[in-house]
Amino acid sequence: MKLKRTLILTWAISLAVTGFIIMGYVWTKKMDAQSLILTLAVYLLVLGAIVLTRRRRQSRGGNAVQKDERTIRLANRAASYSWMISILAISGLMYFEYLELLRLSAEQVLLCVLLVMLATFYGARAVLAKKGDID
Amino acid sequence: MREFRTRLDLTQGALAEAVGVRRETIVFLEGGKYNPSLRLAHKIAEKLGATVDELFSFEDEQG
Repeated sequence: MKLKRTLILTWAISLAVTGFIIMGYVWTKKMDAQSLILTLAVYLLVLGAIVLTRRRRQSRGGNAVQKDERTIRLANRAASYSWMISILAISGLMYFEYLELLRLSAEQVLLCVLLVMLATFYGARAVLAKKGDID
Repeated sequence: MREFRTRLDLTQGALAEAVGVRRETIVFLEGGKYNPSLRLAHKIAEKLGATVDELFSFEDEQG
């Protein structure tokens, strides 16, 4: 039942994202057909990789539980750390910009923030998971 | 907790599956490195046929 719900949700999200990409193409006209196909291909590749990784993890662990109260607690704490560090990183970027030490475009800033958030989240989660608890 | 589990001839994996958590959580619990929620403590106690008090002890770190 839970698996069925997850599958339906995955399909619904996939369709929604595909819809948004096509809508972006039709409405803004900023994207040519080649870019649209490339975007959809990258999106499908990422989606496929996620689904395959999950399947592999499930088959390795059999019916074992993938997440429980401890892992959820650790992930929540890791997300908090990630947010805090990201805010510091954004403040740092603003300060560098103010002092004219660094000139970054909006895309570069977004990429920086995204990388900092992902790296700090997974890093913090790995460290906390080794510790066992958040206390 | 380990003592109660081995007495029932249960593996960590079997206990984890029975109470709906990951095996690592049982490992950390037995190592005294994780404080379970009251709900989980109750589930484990029920599964092992013991009371929560028998399985877990509370130490006030602030004295």
